[in-house]
Amino acid sequence: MRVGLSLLPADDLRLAQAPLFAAGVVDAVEVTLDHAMGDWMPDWMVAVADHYSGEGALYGHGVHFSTLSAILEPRHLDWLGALTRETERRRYVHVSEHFGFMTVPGVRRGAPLPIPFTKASVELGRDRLSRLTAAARAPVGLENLGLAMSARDALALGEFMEQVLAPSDGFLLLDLHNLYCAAVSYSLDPRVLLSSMPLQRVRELHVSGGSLYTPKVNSTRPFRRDTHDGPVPEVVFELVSAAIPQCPKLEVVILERLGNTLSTPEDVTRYREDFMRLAGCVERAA
Amino acid sequence: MNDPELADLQGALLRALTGARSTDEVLQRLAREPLSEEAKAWVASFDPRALEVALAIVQRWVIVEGADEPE
Repeated sequence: MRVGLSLLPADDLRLAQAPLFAAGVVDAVEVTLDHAMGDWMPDWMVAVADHYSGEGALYGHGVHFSTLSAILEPRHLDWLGALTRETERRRYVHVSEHFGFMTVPGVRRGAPLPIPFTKASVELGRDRLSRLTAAARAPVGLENLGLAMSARDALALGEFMEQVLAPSDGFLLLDLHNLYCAAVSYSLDPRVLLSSMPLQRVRELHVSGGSLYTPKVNSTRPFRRDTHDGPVPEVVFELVSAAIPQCPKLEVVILERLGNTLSTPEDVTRYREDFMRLAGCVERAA
Repeated sequence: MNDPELADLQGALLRALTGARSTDEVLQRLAREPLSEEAKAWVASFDPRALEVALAIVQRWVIVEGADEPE
């Protein structure tokens, strides 16, 4: 089992990650597929990605495919074509995308939003997953979102994803901070949510931090958001330790952080400490 | 809900979120859309806080065709 870092073209992240790479403690890296496909990676990222690809330790995570958009547009087919070319160019252990939709005709960029759990949604998800699987030269998985529109949706997400993933034997990229967001936002037990996910399909864990949002509509009940701009909460480390023994196919645990969010030396220190702590969790569990 | 109905829901939701200034306005816009009963039921189930977060996400990240990049 590997522990790794997500790479982004941001200098604060690069500088924070450099000593970890130098120490030889980073087993794997994950790149944003859209960056790789669009040739948007700076030279240093290309070098790191190519090195880890050569070592059989490169993972890819898509952002802009918009997996669950009901209308298939030419941009989707273009994205799939680019995915094929990228996975022919570089060897990926596996690739993933988000379990949500971002765009509709007339919207050229978005952010992942959830869809309702219905028969039509399941069929749609299965179709899109089979297209991703046909396009990629690697196993394909989907990541749970941080935003659920209700507690009921949060509790049903595991079954929803299982029904979509099963026919293609897709894997689950389980984002534990996203799961924690749902737990905090809806006052749910995070371990109950963990148990509701198809853990037998998990090949990858995402670990990150986020932020609490105070809604105007109800300031007494904050909502946790997957903003990827903070340290990893204690509960998420506990979830890592709880999840690993329950995920027999787990390959890699990736620490995520958005670029331009490490504002102080303390932020950088804490980021590196979070990674080493995560590496310790993985080592103990393995 | 079938594919066209799901497409209608997604279009309506993004249009409502893109153009609204408040969650009340999002819901008012959605109420005017010809959605299936299943879609309306899903919208009715929204936690208002989640809708507010969805609105913030869309306003921060969504780019409509022909529009400038957000700050």
